Amino acid sequence: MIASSTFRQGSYAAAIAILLALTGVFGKLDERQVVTGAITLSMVLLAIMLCGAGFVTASRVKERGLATMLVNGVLGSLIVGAALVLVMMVENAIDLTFVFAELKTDPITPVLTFGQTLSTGIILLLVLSALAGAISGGLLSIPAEARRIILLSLALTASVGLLEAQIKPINTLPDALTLAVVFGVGYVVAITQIQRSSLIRLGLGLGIGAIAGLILGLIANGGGFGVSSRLLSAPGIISQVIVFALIGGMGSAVAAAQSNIHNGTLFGVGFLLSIGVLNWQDSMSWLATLLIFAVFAVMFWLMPRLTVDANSRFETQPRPERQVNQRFSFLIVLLVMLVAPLFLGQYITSIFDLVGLYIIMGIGLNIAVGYTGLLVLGFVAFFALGAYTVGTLTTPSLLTCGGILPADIARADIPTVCTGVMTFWQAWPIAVIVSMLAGVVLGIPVLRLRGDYLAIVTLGFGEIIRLITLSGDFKPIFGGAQGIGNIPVPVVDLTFLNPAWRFELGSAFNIYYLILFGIVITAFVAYRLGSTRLGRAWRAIRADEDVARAMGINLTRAKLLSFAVGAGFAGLGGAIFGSWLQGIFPNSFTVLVSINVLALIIIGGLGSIPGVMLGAVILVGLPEILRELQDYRLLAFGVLLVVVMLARPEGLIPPPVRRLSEQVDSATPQKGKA
Amino acid sequence: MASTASQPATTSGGDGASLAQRIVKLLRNPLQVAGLVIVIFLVWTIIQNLTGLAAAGRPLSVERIIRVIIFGLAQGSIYALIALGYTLVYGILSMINFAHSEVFMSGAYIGFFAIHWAEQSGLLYSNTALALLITVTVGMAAAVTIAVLLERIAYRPLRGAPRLVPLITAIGASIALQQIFLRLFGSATRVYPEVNFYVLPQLFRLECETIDGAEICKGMDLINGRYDVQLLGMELQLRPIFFVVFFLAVLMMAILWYIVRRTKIGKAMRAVAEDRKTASLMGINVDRVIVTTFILGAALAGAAGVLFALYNTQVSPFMGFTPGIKAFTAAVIGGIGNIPGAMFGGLFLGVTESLAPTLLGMSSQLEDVIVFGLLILVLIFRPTGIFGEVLSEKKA
Repeated sequence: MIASSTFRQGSYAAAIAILLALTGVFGKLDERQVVTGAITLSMVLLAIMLCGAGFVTASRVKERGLATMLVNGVLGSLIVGAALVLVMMVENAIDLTFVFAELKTDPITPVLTFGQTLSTGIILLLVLSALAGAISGGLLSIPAEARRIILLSLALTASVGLLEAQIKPINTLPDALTLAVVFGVGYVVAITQIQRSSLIRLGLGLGIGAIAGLILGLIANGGGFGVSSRLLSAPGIISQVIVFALIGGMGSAVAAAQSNIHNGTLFGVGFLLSIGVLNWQDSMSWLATLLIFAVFAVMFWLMPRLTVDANSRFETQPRPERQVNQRFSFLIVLLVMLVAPLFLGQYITSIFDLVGLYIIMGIGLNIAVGYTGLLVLGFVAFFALGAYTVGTLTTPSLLTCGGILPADIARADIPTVCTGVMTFWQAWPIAVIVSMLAGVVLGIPVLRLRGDYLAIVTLGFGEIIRLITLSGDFKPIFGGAQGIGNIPVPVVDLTFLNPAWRFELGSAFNIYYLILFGIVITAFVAYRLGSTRLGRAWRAIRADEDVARAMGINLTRAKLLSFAVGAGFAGLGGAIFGSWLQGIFPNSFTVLVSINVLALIIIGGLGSIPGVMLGAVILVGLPEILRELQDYRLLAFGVLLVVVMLARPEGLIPPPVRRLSEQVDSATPQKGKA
Repeated sequence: MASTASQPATTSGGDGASLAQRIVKLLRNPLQVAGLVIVIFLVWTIIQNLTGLAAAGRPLSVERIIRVIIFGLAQGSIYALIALGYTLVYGILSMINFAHSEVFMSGAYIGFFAIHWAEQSGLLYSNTALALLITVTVGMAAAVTIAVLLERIAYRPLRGAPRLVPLITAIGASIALQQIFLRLFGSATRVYPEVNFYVLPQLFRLECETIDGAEICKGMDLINGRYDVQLLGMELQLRPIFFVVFFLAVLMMAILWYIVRRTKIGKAMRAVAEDRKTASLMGINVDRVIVTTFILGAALAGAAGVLFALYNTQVSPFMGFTPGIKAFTAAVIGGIGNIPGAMFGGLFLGVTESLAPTLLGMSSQLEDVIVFGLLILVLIFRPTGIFGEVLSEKKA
């Protein structure tokens, strides 16, 4: 009845629980509420610990029937519960605060006893553990799909509750409903007209989307809906029509798209709906929680069914149609990205900016690591070089003032003016070139070495650059620890077209477009390079250096180019970074940045550009949003790296492997010789 | 570019080659010419700096150089002890155990609790030797525990995976370990208590006081003492701790050398490093050998951590990073996978990094720049490190 694995797994879980408890995690997370006034984050954590243990132990005896599963699940959870009780008793018996310093400010007992006395609390905790174990044992016995839906929906609902404050202003319920309806209409129309060509389907989607949106708008403005909608109160009927047409078009495009795009879009719609519910309820009340859970449950129930159909539609359409569809999908994604900051608010937009910078760097590093297999651990060096090049070239400095220090000019009253000061637009190509040259200079001695040497040399190079910029010896150029300040923001000056068109790209909103532009350019270049002769050479090197050399590839040249292109992208990212923050400091360029970039491309999937984007969102975006949990971000980051690598060594979105052979299959004879 | 440069073998230079042939060979490689130019430039800078200092009336004293070298040797032996862990694991698994710096840190950090306990209970004063022994043992035990867990959780399941994957888990484990220590034990820096470990009062008549007419000497303070010594007409200020660290490190390395060369498990380790598959066919339990390797490396790193903390006194969860990178650099300079190479590399690096800023006339902020510059320079001339036996040519 009771499996021996239960005790083993249970004690592993108990060890983790004790470790976490001793960091004071329960006290720290107790302030953050998930369901307003009822459930705090520490309760969620406790539930995850208890249920997780029950789940693992019960799943080991899965084929032995419900009763065994329940017993083992309860036992597993009880072990964890008992471990926590033990920690509480120890905490009350002896003073742990010298060793475990965090317990001084965040003791465990008050949280885990739920405000009761110790003995009542302990009994309560043990009862809860048994309950949690039973629930997880029971969950295991229901069909796998239902379990998946419940768990995923629960997780997403909890995240919505967690992010309540940040995401609430994004949209209102009428917004979300309108969007969902228009999107759905476009989707359904495309399915009913699936035998027609994709352009006609798109046109239908656009048109019907516009009509549906107009009708909804009329109803809304007639007083049917609330007034607090942004989509429905967009300025002017024309812009409304355009917006709705696009949404409808998106629906029709997605109906026959690859599963990635399809699921992503559907997920987005579901998420916006849940934000709408949250906004309508104004806080994470029980009703809101239930509704949001229902929205996600329906979404996860629908998604796999729709995906299979959509993917088969995508696969069956002829190749040119597929391309049209794909391009249109990309265009739509781009358009959504273009208008997104208008809805997202300052804070989330600035997070997007940061994510975007990491995407640019990630795409660059992806060329070196993902395409060519060169392990680079000091990528931040090139980022720093780009930033410092722009910094020194766009401010009065030794370089731009003809070799005289600005301070000396001010003091000695030398009539020389700093004539060399450049604008951002003049400086960024130089920054890119400087980074590339640095890549070449570093690459020549080390690229002929084995991969691991390259890793350590580049790691060292990253530190060298940081230390040089930090050191007093180079203070006249790089400003030492104070860095370079007062870097001018990029200015888009279109006053010759319209006197009002002078945009200073200083705010998070404006720089967003510059970063987006950078991403589009780098992604395009990287994508195209990947399918050139050089790109194939890179992949060959990654697969097997010796064979690649035997095939006549000049290893040093190909590796150097890959290294230099990657470095150039990082330089571009650095240039934007410097002018965005309007100041650069050596301590922004620590080894952690390099590790972050490397981790995001590996978690996303080496060699895949969508993977880079997803990785950046997960590893950079999420921790930024969860800043309140700052104490645990890096810990979670480290654990995530290990867990993802253990579970999916190829990354979340691995690049399509059979792409080349596919091309050969469907290529026309004329194309075959290319 | 220099496609001929992609042949590492060109640098090895056979024994039979005459000096002239060697020089010709050297000059044919543009990269090595560039390296040579840099070396000449560095030498020139040193001479300039020294003559400049002498001209300015403050010549570099021999005393100072000796003091710097002694400090460098102590620091270098710490690097060497850590580097051995990198090199052992690299030799067997050909992966960079990125989390090894955290193994070092955990030795120092957990050792702090042991020595703190000894201080509280008075053992540190009543029986200093025993207290220090306990501290070192606890530090080593902590380091070994961490390393074994690390191997079990993060590395073993990935043994067949592509090379990048275990590296990423190693980086992840490194961050996670740092953060677990930070969150468990708090962000405040912990400070090792001041230890006075007096030895040999008969030999060193130091810190004497006269009680009831009889002179009682405590002897030499090995940990905290600073003594002015007259040696060959030079006035040297020495700290015994540096010698202690150096000699203990050499002792431990000798033990390791013995284990690897003379014992059965050492033979098994060498066999697994040579060819894992064949070794397992010969009846060697590969898993056990790998765990043993981790244990050996971690024990050295844990001891290094405690020794390092004894003279640096401060421990924090982030203390491992810099010594870790430098130790790895040392292992690469010496020729990674090569045990004497790691020892030599560590000592060489320690001495160079403490000597170079003085000789070159740079601020010591740039000490780490010199370390990595040195690495690149060494790799230009000997791509497989100074003791560059090519251990795993199949991966070249």
